[in-house]
Amino acid sequence: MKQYLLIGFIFFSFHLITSQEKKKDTVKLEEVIITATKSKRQLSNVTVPVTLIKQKDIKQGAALSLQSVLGEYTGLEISTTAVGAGIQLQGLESDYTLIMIDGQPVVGRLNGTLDLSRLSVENIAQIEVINGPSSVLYGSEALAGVINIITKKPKKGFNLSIGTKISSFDTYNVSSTTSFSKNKFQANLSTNYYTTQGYNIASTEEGYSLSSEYYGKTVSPHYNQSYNSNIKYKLNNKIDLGLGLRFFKEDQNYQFLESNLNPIHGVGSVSDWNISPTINYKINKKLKTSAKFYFTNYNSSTDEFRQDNSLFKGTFYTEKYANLEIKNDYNLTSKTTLTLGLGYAQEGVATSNLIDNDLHTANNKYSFLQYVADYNKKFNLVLGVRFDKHDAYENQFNPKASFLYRFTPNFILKGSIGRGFKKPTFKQLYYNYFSNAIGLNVFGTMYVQEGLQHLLDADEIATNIETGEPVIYDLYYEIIDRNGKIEPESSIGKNLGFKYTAIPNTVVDVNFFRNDLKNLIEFNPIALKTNGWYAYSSENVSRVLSQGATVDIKTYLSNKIKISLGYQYLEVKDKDVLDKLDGEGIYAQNPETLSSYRVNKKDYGGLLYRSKHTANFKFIAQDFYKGFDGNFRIIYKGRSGYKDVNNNEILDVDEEYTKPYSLVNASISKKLFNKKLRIQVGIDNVFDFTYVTADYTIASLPGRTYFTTINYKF
Amino acid sequence: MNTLKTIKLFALAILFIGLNSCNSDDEENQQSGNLEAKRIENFEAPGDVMDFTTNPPTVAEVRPFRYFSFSEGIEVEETANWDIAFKGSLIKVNGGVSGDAQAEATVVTGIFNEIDSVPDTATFNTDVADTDSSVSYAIPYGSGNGWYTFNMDTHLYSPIPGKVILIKTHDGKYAKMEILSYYKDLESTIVNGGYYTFNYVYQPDGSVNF
Repeated sequence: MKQYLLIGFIFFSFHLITSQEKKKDTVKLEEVIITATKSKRQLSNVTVPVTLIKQKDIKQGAALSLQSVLGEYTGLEISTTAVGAGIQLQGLESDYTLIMIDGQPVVGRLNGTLDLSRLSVENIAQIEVINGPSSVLYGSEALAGVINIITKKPKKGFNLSIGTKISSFDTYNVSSTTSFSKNKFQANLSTNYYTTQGYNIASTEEGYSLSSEYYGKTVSPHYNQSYNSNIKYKLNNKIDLGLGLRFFKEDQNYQFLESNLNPIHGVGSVSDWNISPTINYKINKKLKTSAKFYFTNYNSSTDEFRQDNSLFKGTFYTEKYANLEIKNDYNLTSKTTLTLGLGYAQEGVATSNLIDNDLHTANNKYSFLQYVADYNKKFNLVLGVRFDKHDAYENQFNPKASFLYRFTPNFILKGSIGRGFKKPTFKQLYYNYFSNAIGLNVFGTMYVQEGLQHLLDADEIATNIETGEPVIYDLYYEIIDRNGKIEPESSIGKNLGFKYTAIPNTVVDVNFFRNDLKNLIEFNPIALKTNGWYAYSSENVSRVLSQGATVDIKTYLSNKIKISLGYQYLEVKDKDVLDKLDGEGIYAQNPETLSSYRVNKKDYGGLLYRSKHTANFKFIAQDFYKGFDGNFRIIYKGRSGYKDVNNNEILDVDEEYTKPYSLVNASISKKLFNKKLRIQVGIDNVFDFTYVTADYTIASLPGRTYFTTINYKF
Repeated sequence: MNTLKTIKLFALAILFIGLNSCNSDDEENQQSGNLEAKRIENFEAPGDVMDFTTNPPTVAEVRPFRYFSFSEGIEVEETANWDIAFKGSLIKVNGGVSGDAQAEATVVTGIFNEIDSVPDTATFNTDVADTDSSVSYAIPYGSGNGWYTFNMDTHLYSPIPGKVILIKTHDGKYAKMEILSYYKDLESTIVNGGYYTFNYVYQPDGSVNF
């Protein structure tokens, strides 16, 4: 009911705005993004659906975590699954979105999800999100889209700014940015220190609330520091050199109880660093070339001890990635550009659960070709194709085509179609896992033969009494036949949308999307063990479709007040389940009568952890009263499925869903002393909402959080 | 199409009323399409007690199979004319390697009440020695293979909704059954395991109709 009132209110607001119709007086800055074509391009000419988040948008919320920044935008949903929280794009989980800093991939995913808290918000100039497959330029993982974090670049002269944020749960952040330039030399350095005592969400007898009664914390105390630097040197009119550097380190202390209730304390540490030198060379008016090198190294480890300081468990994970890419842009005519890119990447992973402690490496050679045509003021076309040759999987060929057409200056149509892929993970290829708690084994496909042999040698594979043969399933032989290779997961994505300036200062942005994914990799049994459990390996099985629409309406009530409303409708479904519903049917048991009934196709709710309806509303006022800026934002998440209660392995009854909820965030700020000092106070999650139940908890929602930020620009 | 079906059914009904009036001293519920579904509650048939401390796990205590006759509608002795027998989540039929008679079974997908006859496509099997496992049961054994799934987290058995077991009894009659619960008084906890609740319809006239 509340939701309807909210929507009613929002539409009422729009009615007011439309009837007031302010004159065009907002300054239109030319927004430029780089991710869509790997070259700077005016946002108004970009042919693919983009979400652009600028520094001032981030500041309004004062969020410290990148995840909560992203989660306030239409189509970017924070989803809390069994393995952690990540950002969903077009309904696909976070491991299908490539996350980059300045166009280079961030490595170090745990269970497929990147811990976005590694990326300091302080250093961000803007965030560019491309919706839809972008493997045409970026290769693996850019299947749902890409999130490219553009860091601050050096400015002219000498600049120094410092900032601090204090918020609930003893959370402190101190940051600084220094920028310096002299003649042809420019450099900047951002530093960020962050510390938090964390928080605990646990159930109490009366209900569910924040509590310290339980051992260990939902989010444990941690401390991190990061340093980012960008250096530029202009050698001459034709050549400039660049260097990007980053270092991050985090330490964490945590506690939990062993299965026999003995307390365990753990120390976790994460670090990553990267270096990226570039050279840009303008050969002549028509031809530009650039070479980029990137090396990054990610390390994480945990050491867990019992009370007597004996080692309980230690784990480690190391990932290295090196890439060299040469890109040539050639202006065929004044309106068309051809880009040819060649690249070579080497990646390596070593972790405690792979076959051995050695670094497993793979090589990836690729090339891409892109044709960009800005035929006239009405029509833009981008065509591209990328070819990837990789050690561990079959060659990949990813084409993409997109266009933009301006029917009138007020009505722009955009469309794109492309293929995206995600390579098999090192885990899927080289895993060697044994669960002490349960007794099952999981082997990567490259290790299946050896892994099974070990189990056979140890007499751990069940024997068929009749034949005396070990119980080994067909999947094992299929994997052996393919020499352990599995297909990358792939998708065809289509987007069609329009931008309509309905009335002056009011823009309606609509995008329809559909992704058809196939060859999704799952773990399935390869053999039966004597203890009754299975040994598992990976196979390409499932097919999924994700489709929906996003609507964004932005309007300027005046040059001081901006209101925006975003909504996403989403369906993510397993195609094999849909086929089964059409065919032999999927059934459910009526809890009252115990008899079975056939599940109606319209009751199938699709994959877990997806909200069919999500919405956001933002009210942003600049200098609305004596130099005060203020804003409030409402994030609505419709129900999403999280478990199967009626034993048919699909989402189909109400008890299998979370309840819908809304979050309200607000802040107010003022600039003082010639706008050099900015002070902000705010509340995240004003109504102190938490989601804690016996079998589903949203760990990223600690309840109401107060914060203060102070920034000073010298 | 529907009208035609209705007419057919109507004709069939008249025919059977006619037949029935000729054999008026037959038992009740013999009319095809009119048979009453019966429910058996808490049919006790726990599985063997296993010792999981050894590898491979060993049987600590052997439990007996419990036998059921559809014509009598009750538990019977092994020496009697039984049709199916339960032990733990395993169900065997009186035929093949499991029994001396010619009982067979198959598992089909559908709504229990809507299955009004044995479909032409149904392929009945008996329990046979097999190369894949020691015995290939007519009612397949194992999670997700036959009538149930076993949850590795909760260690509970749950009937798969929409699975109907069709049985050709020891003397060639047909029955259909749907297992509703594996737990005593329908309370799904591990200690209550081994108590079947199921619905069945038995057709004593030898026809394929229920």
